[in-house]
Amino acid sequence: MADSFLEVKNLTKNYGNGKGAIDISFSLNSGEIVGFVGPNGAGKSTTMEMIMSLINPDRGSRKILGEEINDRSDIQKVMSRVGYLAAEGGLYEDLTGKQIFNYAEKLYGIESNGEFEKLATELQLDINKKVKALSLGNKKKVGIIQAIIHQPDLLILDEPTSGLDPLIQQQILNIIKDFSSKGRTVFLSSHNLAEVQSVCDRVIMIKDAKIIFDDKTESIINENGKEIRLINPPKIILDRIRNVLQDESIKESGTEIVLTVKRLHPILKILMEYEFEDFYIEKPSLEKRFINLY
Amino acid sequence: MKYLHIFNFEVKRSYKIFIWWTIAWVLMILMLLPFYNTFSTQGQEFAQVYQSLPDAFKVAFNLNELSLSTISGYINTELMELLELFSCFFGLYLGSRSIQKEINNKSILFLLSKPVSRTKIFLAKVDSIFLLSVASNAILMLFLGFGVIFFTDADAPVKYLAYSFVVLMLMFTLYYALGILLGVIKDGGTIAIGAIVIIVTFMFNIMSKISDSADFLKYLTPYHYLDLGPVVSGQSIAIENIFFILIIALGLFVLGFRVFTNRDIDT
Repeated sequence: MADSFLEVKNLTKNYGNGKGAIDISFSLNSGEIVGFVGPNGAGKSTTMEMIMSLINPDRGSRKILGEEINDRSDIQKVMSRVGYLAAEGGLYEDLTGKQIFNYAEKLYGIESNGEFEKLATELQLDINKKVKALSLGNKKKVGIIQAIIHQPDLLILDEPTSGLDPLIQQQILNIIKDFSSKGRTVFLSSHNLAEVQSVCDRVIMIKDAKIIFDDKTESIINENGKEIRLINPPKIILDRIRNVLQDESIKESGTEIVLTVKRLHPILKILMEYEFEDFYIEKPSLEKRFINLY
Repeated sequence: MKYLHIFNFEVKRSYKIFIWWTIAWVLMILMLLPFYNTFSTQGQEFAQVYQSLPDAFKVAFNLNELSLSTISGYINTELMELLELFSCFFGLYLGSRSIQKEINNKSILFLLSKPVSRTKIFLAKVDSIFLLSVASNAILMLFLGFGVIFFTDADAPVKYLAYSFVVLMLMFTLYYALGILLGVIKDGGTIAIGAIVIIVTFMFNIMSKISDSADFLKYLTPYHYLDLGPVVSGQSIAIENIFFILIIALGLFVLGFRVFTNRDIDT
C-alpha cells in the first residue's frame, strides 16, 4: 500500500473573483485525520469535489491510494476503497436508512454483515424511517454510515457536523476517531475549529481559494505558548511581570490581564511569591490562532 | 452486476408511475371500445358528416370515411392520436426527471460516490425506463387487441396495433431522450421547453397538412414520419422513417450521455 493515501499537486479550479481552488497541493498519510478549514466559499468543497472527480480540475494532478487520477474513469479503480460524504444531499429522501445501506452494500459489492445495524444502534438511528422524515442530525448519521459501510481506507467528509447539536457532533466525531484508529485516513472539512482541534492530527487552512497553512495541530497550538489570565492583579505583580515579558505578550481584556508565555515557570514563580491566586491557565485554541485569518 | 443493481433500483422507483399510466389508458380503452359497433353501423352517415367538413380539417386530423367505421380508424381517431401525444409528454417528463431531479436534489452524489461509472448510471436509468415503457405499451396494445375481440364485432387489427406499438415506443423514446438531454444541460425549465417542442412539432404537422405553403414543415415534425393514418388505410409506415426517428432519438441520447459524463456536479 502506498504511503501517501492522497496526494494533490497544483489542483486548480478557477471560477474567477477569488472563487474556486487554486494550486492546491498537499498529501495525506496513513492513519491521519486531517482537518480542512476555512471561511465559507474559501474552496473547501471545490477541492474535495475535484478529488472525488465530481468536478474536473482546470489543471493539476491527484493521486488516490496510489492511483493517478487523470479522468473520471480512473477514480472508479479506487472508489471501493474511498468513502465520501457530501456537504449536503447524497441520499435518497424517499428511502429508509436500511434501504440506503443495503443499496450501498450492493454497489460496493460487499456482503451485508450487520455492521450498519450495529453503528445505527450506537448512534440511536432508526433505520426503518424514511430519510425525509429524519432530522438533519440523523440524515448526517445515515450519510456517515453509508460512507464507511465498506470500511474504506480513505474517508472524505465535507462538513460532517455542520448544523448539528453538540451531542450528535460528538457522536459523529467519535465514529471518525474510532474509524481512524484502525489505520485509516480521514480528510474532513469543517467550520468548527474546536472540533478540528479535538479530532484532527493536522490542519490545512484555505482562504480565498489558496492554502495558507498546513501543519500539525499540536505544533499550531503550541506555537504561541500558553495563556495565563490574571484577574485584577496588583500593580506590583504587573511591574514584576513586565520585567520578565515583552509588552506584546501582555494584553488587557476587561478586568483580566492576559499573558502569552512559552514557559509558565517564571510567571508562576512571581505569582506564588505574592501569593496571588486569582488566575487560570489556558491552552491556546485553533480558534484563537486562526480567527484573525477568517 | 452493479449496472443490474442500479437498473433494478430504477425499475423499482419508476414502476408505479407506469402502472398508473397503463391503468389510465386501459380505462380509456374500456370506455371507448363498447361504442365502436354503434359507430361502425353508421359509417355512411359519418362519411356524409365528414364530407361537410373543410378538406384541410379532414386531412389535418386524418378524418375520413374509415375514421369511425373501421376498427383501426376508430382506435386511431378516438384513442391513438391522444395516446401518442400524451406519450410524448410522458417520455419528456420521465426523461427530464431521471437525471436532472437527482442532480438538483443532490441524490446523484450517492451514486457518484460509489464504484460505478457515470456510463453505467446513465445506461441503467435509460434502460429501466425503456423496459417499463415496452412493458406498458405492450400491455396496452394487447389489451386493445383483446378488447376489440371482446367488446366489438370486429377482428383485432393486428397490423395496426403492431405499428401503433412501434410509433408509441418511438415517440416516447424520442421525447424521453430530449428530456434527458435538456435535464443534463439545464437545472430547471426542462419540461416547459420540452412541452413547447412537442406542441410546436404537433402544430407543424397540422399546418403542413392544412396549407400547401407550409408543406415543408412536415419534415420538421416526427408526427409526419410516424403518421398512423396510412396504416389505417392498409398501407405501412416507411421503414426509413422509423430508422430516421430512431437515429434522432439515439443522437439525443448520445448528446445527453456526453453532457452527463462531462459535466461538473458540485454541491
